[in-house]
Amino acid sequence: MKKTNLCEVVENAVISGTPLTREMEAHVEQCGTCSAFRSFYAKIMTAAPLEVPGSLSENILSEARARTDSKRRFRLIVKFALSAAASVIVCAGILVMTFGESSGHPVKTKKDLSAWNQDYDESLLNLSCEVGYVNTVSQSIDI
Amino acid sequence: MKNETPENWTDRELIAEYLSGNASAFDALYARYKLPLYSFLNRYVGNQAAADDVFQQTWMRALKNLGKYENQDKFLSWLCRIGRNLALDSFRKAKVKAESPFEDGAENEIPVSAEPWREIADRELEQAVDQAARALPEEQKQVFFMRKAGIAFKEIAAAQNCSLNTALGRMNYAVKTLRNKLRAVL
Repeated sequence: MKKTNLCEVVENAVISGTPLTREMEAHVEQCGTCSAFRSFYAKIMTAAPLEVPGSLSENILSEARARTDSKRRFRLIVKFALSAAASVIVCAGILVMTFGESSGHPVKTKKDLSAWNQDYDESLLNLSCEVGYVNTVSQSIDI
Repeated sequence: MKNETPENWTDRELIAEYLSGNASAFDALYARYKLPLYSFLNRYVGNQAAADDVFQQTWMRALKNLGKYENQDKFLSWLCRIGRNLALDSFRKAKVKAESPFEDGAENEIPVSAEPWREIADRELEQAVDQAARALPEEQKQVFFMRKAGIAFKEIAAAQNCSLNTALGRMNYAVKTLRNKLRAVL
């Protein structure tokens, strides 16, 4: 039987797995070339079902599990390291705040306080004298 | 993540879940693709022991590179590409070429049925087809065996990094060549 354009269309549809239209089905029933092609294609694509050997699957799945376990362990280690580092930083901060004050000149006793007050009074007195002097000078300039 | 079981998740979701530490997500991914990949490699390599080895290596390599793989919606295509490259490497290294179709049969157990002669005949026919297909040009051979493994043309095109039309064209040529070669058998 001579091959027509419709035969080509049917062949392409069979190969691509597209369902045949009614028109195509009617053509296949009448056309020896197309029906032979369809049965040939079905035969070459027939495949006995295969099973993946259990040992292969077991190897692959256990490798997958081992990888997630090692990732989990790594994450735990990172978490632990980060929290340890944070603790060290906090402790160091507390230590600096506690013992770092001794290097300055904090007021600690009543004696120190009265000495500090005296210094303060003297500086106030000096300041008022200077202000009085400045006033006198400025008045003399006005004159 | 969601209420459905992992079997209903998309490939992308399964990969993300596995990478976040849920090993059962990979089990679902493996269950989804083990058969098409195994079926493709088994026929493409043509030697069961070598095919098993390539199959295992393919999954190991996929596991190793899962985090780097970006186009996660085309996971099967990616697997097929890895498998094909490993198979080509194994052909080159060990010179494992397609052997007699009946040699494979000796390794595989023949299923018991009510009509054992018919099954043996079908099996021999299938092996003759596979043997003829292994002599096809490389690209056509890959398309043919992927299609025979039930892989969609869209996936095949992605695995071969070509257009859908090119993949269909290769299949067309493969079928025409096989028709000529197998005229006496079929």
